[in-house]
Amino acid sequence: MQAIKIENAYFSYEEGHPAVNDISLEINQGEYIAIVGKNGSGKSTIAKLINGLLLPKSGKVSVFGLDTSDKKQVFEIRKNVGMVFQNPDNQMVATIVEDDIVFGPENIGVPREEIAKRIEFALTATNNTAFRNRPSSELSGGQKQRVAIAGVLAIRPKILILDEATSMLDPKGRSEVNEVIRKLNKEEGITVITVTHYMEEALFADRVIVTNSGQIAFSGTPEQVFSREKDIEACGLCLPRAMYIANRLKEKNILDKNLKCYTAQELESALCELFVKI
Amino acid sequence: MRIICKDLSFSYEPKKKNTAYALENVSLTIEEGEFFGIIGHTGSGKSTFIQHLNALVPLQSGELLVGEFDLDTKNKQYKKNLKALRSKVGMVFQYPEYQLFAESVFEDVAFGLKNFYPELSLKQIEQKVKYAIELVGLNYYQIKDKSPFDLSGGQKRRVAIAGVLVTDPEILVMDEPVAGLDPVGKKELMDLLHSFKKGNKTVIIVSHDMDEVCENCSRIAIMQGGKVVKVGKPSEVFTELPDENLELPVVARLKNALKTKGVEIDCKLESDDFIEEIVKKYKERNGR
Repeated sequence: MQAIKIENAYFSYEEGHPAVNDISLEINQGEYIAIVGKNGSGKSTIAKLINGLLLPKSGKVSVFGLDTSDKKQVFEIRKNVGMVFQNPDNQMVATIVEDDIVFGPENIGVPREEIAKRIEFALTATNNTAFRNRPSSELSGGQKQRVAIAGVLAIRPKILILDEATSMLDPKGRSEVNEVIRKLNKEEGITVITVTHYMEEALFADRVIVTNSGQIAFSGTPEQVFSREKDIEACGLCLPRAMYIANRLKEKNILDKNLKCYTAQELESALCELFVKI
Repeated sequence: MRIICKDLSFSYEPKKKNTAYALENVSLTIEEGEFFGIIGHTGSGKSTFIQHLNALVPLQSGELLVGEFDLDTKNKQYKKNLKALRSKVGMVFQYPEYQLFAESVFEDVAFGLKNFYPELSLKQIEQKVKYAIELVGLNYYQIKDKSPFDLSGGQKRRVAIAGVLVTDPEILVMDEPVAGLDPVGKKELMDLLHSFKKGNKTVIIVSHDMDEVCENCSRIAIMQGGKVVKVGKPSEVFTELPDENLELPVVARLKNALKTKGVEIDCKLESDDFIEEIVKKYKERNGR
């Protein structure tokens, strides 16, 4: 099923300087999408166009067939599209974790019994059950960001958008959040769109979209996208570090050209194997 | 300016019984001209430590000397020295672009300067602001009258840094300087810090990005539970995973794994250096 359809969307914050310039994109329900691109390339703008926080100045964005420009549909669209931002501190509305999660469903008038169920679901899905009665101010960044995701999940969205949601977290917090996102995608079938600066995070995606100057430069599976090292660099990005090292060693005929090597783990095994042999 | 810190302890609730310490017996010397990195997971005491360096948090116990300034609050000169200290120790917090507030870039950059040196003439202010804006790689005439809010993210961050550099600090402390920047922006900012350092000035960065720290810092301190658990060159510090909340830099991870197979790779924790050493080792082993 098609979840999102963007047709020739154009958006500018300032006249004559398009942030998104004639982008077309279709995303299916259940897909895991990573959007990468340098600062100012339009990736966050695309994310905000999808849940109607921004409306295209020309072109059309629809979510499950609903046009984001149709004012009557905005509420329905936002119920389906949850969004998590960069700074976890800006997304906490209540002092206690559970209250924070209740906020969303209460606002959209979910019945009491159903709310209780949703809290359980949201807490479990984000590995947060142990924190339910804790003050959110006592949590670490990664924990807070997981609570923010739980708050969004309690609305039961079909699509989850993360706008650089891990950029303020330490490595452990980052992996906690990524683990939760992957689980939601795999087990709950939630469509995930993550906007990120960490190329390593893009490796988890089904499809990677590279933006440059307000347009989609190219896209494909992580394998397809990351095999285009020159194009990646031309867009102001760089390969995951392990892959960069692997590519240089392939050029020097030290590693086999056809070896799949994206992560540090894979490179580690490849190098160990190589040196044990010789 | 050299920083000497001895047995520094600090608690946010010092009067409470069995209080938790944000810093516990931290002893650390940072030499003039170093590019120093501080890493540790959230809550390990990094921020509390750096906030001591320009007396944003008062010293509770231990000793702290920053250049000629003694930060002991009982010191008679303490209050009188604060202003001078803060103009010499520039502090840039996380996402400094959120702290921009003035109507024009010029006013924003000049704000701190005017506060520290009210006696300066307009001409002197202009001169210093121009210097700082150019130091961060922006065009003074093109940007000075713009609203800081009309700039791109990377430009905003530079303007915010210019607002700190304008008082000509000897020590620049930055919390997560490259968070949220793309690879090109990261590199530009790091180059900026390296060029600032050239005048024998000290740069101290706090970061979660282990690879970034390894590629830029001459020495690193790892903090854990309010303590400094390790200090040294990146290659000395990352011989093992220092803390389960952190991750090893990619090169350190590869080096350590190879070591368990009896292959010693002697290199800096930088991709290109590692590649070069691997090539050497490979040829050596292959007898070529």
